[in-house]
Amino acid sequence: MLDALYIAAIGLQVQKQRLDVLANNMANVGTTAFKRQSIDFSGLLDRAPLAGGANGIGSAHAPPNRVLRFDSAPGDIHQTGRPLDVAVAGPGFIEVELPGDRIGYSRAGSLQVRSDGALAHSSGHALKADIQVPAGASDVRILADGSVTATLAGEATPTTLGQIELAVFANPEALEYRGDGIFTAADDVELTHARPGEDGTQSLAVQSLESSNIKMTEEMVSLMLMQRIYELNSRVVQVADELIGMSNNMRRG
Amino acid sequence: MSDIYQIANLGLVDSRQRLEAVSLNAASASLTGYRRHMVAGRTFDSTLSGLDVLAASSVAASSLSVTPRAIPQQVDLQPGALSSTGRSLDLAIDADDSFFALTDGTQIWLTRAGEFRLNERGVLVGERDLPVVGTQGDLRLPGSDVTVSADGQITHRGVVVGALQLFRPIDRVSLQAAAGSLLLSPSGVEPVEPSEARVRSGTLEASNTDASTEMLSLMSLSRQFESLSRVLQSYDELLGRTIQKLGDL
Repeated sequence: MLDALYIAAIGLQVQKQRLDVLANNMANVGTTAFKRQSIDFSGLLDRAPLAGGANGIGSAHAPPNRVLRFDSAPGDIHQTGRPLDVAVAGPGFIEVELPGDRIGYSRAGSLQVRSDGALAHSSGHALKADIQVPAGASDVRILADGSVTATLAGEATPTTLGQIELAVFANPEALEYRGDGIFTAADDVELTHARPGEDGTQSLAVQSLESSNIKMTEEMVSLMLMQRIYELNSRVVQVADELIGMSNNMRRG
Repeated sequence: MSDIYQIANLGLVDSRQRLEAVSLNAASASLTGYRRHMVAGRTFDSTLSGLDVLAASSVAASSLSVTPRAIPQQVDLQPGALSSTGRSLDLAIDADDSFFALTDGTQIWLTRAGEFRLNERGVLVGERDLPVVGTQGDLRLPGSDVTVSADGQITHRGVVVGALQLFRPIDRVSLQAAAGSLLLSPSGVEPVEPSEARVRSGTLEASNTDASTEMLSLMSLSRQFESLSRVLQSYDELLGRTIQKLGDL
């Protein structure tokens, strides 16, 4: 009976964690290129060692109890009219330089020119393409093939400053989310580089941004389900508690 | 004379196990492809005849503290509701009797949870990162942008890169719950012909835990427990009074 109490308590915890993740998703509905997160808790109710000793399931590489996953489905692309906004249509990520020589990958293409002239991600990290916008340059534009142009001071025609390439992963779901719309990859992950529009990638959508891929109705439905499952689990806790009380009171006097 | 204690105790153990099954089902109500546990009801006859056999031997009283696994746990194979996710590696099976198979190289687990993804080596894995069984062993895919046809063929940019192998347990009734949504078939499994497989891509099957069934079972088991504990109490009282009266004589 204590078992039932603990299991139902874990059930309550699971729903609470799902609610946390759902709240995070809902809060990021308006975040550029946010990817819906979910948790995998299939291992949460396992008791070590697993059923039948030798049959222990994946005991050597048992995954942690709670795994955060994200849904790599693309979000809708909408026009913003801002010249430094780009959206990646189709597969691929823009590479960003992180501190410590690490590379981050992002689909949030709301770019900016930093005060030192470097073209940077909205979080302030410079792009790996290392594009410097000279002082006095105007009309900085990103073209659909990923090249960045600007009209330099005293010139009439635009000059190409650099080229943004896309990093394409065979399995984007193996990436790890580290906040600010930036993902990181394990060192040995397979990736290919391509100019937008080549090697199976699509051209960049210029002056546009990718929305989050969160579907409000689906989140609402799972919110309702979560609440009901929470209720069911709390009922089980109550009944288990009642039964324990009953057996404790079985001997009167 | 202690028979009544033992019979009541068996009933108490029974309701305790039913409570455990309900709590597992409730906790896993949001686990993809979970099959709810059922405590197979033993007939009262079989419980009693077991009691007789046990009572005949001298160790009877001690072995009556029934071990939790003595009552067989069965799984309810009713299909759960399908919901569409749009992700190509989320798979559900339309036929009730077939299952996906996951393996760690030595053992095969059956599951209806088709929430598959690629691991770091590009191998298609399911729950607990166990590789999914294909027609030719592990399925190594070049990328996650694949399409899966109804017969389980996996196509990556127009090229067939593998096919899922579905299985069916030889004896459905003997299926046992292993962990999470995984099931074990002690009677063995047989492959399903590709022409009979009905895989649906972009869809997931929910857990088949049903709140109303679980609530009903909660109500009945708590009442059963209550009445049995009353039986124990009144019998205890009766014995106490008998002993008192005998003392008065």
